[in-house]
Amino acid sequence: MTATRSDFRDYIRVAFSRGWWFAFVTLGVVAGISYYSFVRATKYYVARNEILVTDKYAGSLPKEIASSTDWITRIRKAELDFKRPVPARQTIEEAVGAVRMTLSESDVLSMVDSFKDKMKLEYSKEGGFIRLSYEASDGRLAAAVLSLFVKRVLASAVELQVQELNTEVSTLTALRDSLASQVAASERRLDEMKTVAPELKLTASTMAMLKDSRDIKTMPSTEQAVAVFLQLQRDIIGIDSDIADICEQMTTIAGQIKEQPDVVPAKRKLETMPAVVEATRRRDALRVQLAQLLANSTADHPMVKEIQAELKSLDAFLVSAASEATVEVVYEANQVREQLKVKATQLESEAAGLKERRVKLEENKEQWRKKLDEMPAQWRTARELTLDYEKKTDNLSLVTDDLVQAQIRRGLALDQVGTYYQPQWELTPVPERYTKPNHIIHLMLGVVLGLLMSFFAVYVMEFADHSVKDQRDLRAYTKAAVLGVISDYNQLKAVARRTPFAKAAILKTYLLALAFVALAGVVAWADWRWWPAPQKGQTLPAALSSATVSNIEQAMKLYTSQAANLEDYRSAEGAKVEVTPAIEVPGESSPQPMLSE
Amino acid sequence: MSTFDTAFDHAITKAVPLSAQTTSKAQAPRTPLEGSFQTVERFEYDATRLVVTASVVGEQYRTLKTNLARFKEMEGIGSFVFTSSTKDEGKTTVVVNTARAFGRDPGVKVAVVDCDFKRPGVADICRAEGKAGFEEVMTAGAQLADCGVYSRRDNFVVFAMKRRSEETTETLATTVVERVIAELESIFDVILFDTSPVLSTTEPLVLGARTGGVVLVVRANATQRESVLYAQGQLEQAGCRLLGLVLNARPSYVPRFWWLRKYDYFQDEYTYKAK
Repeated sequence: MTATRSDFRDYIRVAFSRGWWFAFVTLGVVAGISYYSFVRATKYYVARNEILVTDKYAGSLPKEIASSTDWITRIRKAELDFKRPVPARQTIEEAVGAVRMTLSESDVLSMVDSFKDKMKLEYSKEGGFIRLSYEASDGRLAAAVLSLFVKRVLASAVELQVQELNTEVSTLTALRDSLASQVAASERRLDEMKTVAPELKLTASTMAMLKDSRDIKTMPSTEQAVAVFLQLQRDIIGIDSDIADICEQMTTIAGQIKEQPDVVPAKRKLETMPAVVEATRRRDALRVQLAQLLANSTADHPMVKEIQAELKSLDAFLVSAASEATVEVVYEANQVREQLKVKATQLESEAAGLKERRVKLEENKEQWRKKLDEMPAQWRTARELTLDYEKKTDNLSLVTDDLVQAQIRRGLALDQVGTYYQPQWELTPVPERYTKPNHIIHLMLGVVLGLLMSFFAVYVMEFADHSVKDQRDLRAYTKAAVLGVISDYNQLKAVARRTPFAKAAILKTYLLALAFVALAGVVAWADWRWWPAPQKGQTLPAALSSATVSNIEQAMKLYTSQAANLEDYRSAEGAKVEVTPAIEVPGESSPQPMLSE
Repeated sequence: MSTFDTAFDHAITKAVPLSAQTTSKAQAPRTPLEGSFQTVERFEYDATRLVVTASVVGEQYRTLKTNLARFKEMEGIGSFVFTSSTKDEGKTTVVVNTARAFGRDPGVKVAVVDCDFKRPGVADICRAEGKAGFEEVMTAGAQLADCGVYSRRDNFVVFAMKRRSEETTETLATTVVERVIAELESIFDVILFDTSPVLSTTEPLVLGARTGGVVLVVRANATQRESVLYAQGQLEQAGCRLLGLVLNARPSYVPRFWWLRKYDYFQDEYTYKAK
């Protein structure tokens, strides 16, 4: 297939054959763009502000904001991502001051309450921005309302917390009071038990056992009293065994006393004494030495005399030693006997004591048996009371701790309202002048865009259409002569006969042009009627429409009725919940330049 | 006929009053063919398919007639087979209206032969029925004089079908076709064969190879270029001579008020550069 050279008549043919496509597509695009321009486009007198919410708000933001997953980390990431230069912005102080000059704080607060639905809250996809946007008739007004809105949200969130904490504190206090009264009652009963306890005439061991325990709460239970009774029994048995032992000892001691001899033989005693044995051996040796000397020499030998003197002294010693030994043995024998006698008397007295004690123990045992029979219930109640008292005391301490913590939390929450949470603002620049969408430009843009789109659509359709259009087409493709061209006779006949269809076919061109003109006229009229161009230097009060003012009045009535309840609540609870403005009002010394007109 | 068409027809026929037409049987024949065939005063045309002679479209048909007559003058070709690539492209309408244009000349002997055996349409337009149908001429050996119907006012002979034949192999026997064509050419100066589409039947191929040539009718905005090219190839392969093309039912995209200002806006130079 060879391509044909396009001619101007081809454009005429295409324009008239696909005329409705051009018209519909262009009208559709124009209508869409007009809809966007009038409805969807950013309205004029609108300020949109962003809030960069930081992690300080973690506790006091509404749940839907705070429950977003790891939003704090996302915010920090976003802060890293958004390394944009800070634009020239109008401070929120100026904005709030500008609003305050015409509207009081209560008015703005009421606007906040009434325009809550207009507030848009959206999460930015790039990071953790929570973007609050509000549309107002002036950028400064929008900024002020936004700031107060955030402040109010925070305050209401904290108020809710305080309210919950107040109820918690009151319930805890009531619980603590009741527990304290219960503890006092049980303590009283325990005291009574303590006074009863000495009248029980317990034995020394039982009293010692009771004394070991610090408090009466460990007083013996019935089982322990039984144990005491059994202990007494065991003591009696032990005393019996002791008495038996003592009797045995007494019999043995009596035997020993009988066996003890009155006189001990002296020889035997002397032989056993080492000094006597030594002296005897020395005497024997001296006698042998003397005999040898006498045999060998004369009696005049000097040694003889010495030996004789020594023998003499030895004999004297031996004689005295014999007498002394006799006396000592007698004394020892008497002493042992006396000792045994003393021991025997001691054992007798001990046995007598044990017997007395055994009697006492038996009496005690009988008494314990009687007490056990009489007072098991009293002991049980004492023990239960003690344990109950202990438990209640623990509960009381726990409840007291909770109460203290709740009070601390309430105090913290109350502090948050005024001082702790200061909003961090990230404001978009507030427009200095009023702007509005240019509807005429949008309309012209729609016409151009629609024509382009319809041209494209028609081009595609023509490209896909392979039917023969005219004689040039035929000649170009077949290379054959065109002998004749016969027009559509029925079409010409219909036009010549002025049929309604033919009239409409003629009229449709005019109607189409008229539709475009009407659309342009409607757009221009709406632009003039509903979107008046603000005058130069127009300021905030003039920009507030009557509808806005009526909304504000309605909201003020609502807010005053609600504020009374709020004040009652605050005064009743005694909590100092002060909803201070987010931004301080600039002082009167610095008048607002934007309100000079 | 509508008032619009009757107005034009009255303008045309007012030279010959109706009283004179009704009483013209006794007069001497004005044309050479008058009396040779079954003669009627006028064909009762189908109004929806007839083109008014004095209209712009009538002028376009006269242009087509002139181009065809040029072949007769230069090459002596008098028999034209009108066909198309697909059906419903206006072959019969073009043939009848072209024959009317030829018939304006009283000295020319014109014949319209309906050779569309499957869907014969000439009889529907002209409302002319002879004693025998053309299919009988081709098969049963009927005479052409029994088949043709002559109109005095339109000055051409119509050979119409009486019934459609399912099988065309007998009717298109070579000897019969050649005999009938030779007989027709011996009688008429201009013979217009109305046949069936090229791409679906064989009549135009058989007839086109034994006549002067083939004229391919193409309907604007309906016929695909590929169909036209394929039909052209078929004709070449069958040994037919493609004399030219006729673009039929071309709509005008410009409004009438504009269209009327320029006479013959779409009659451009290509129609005259037929050769």
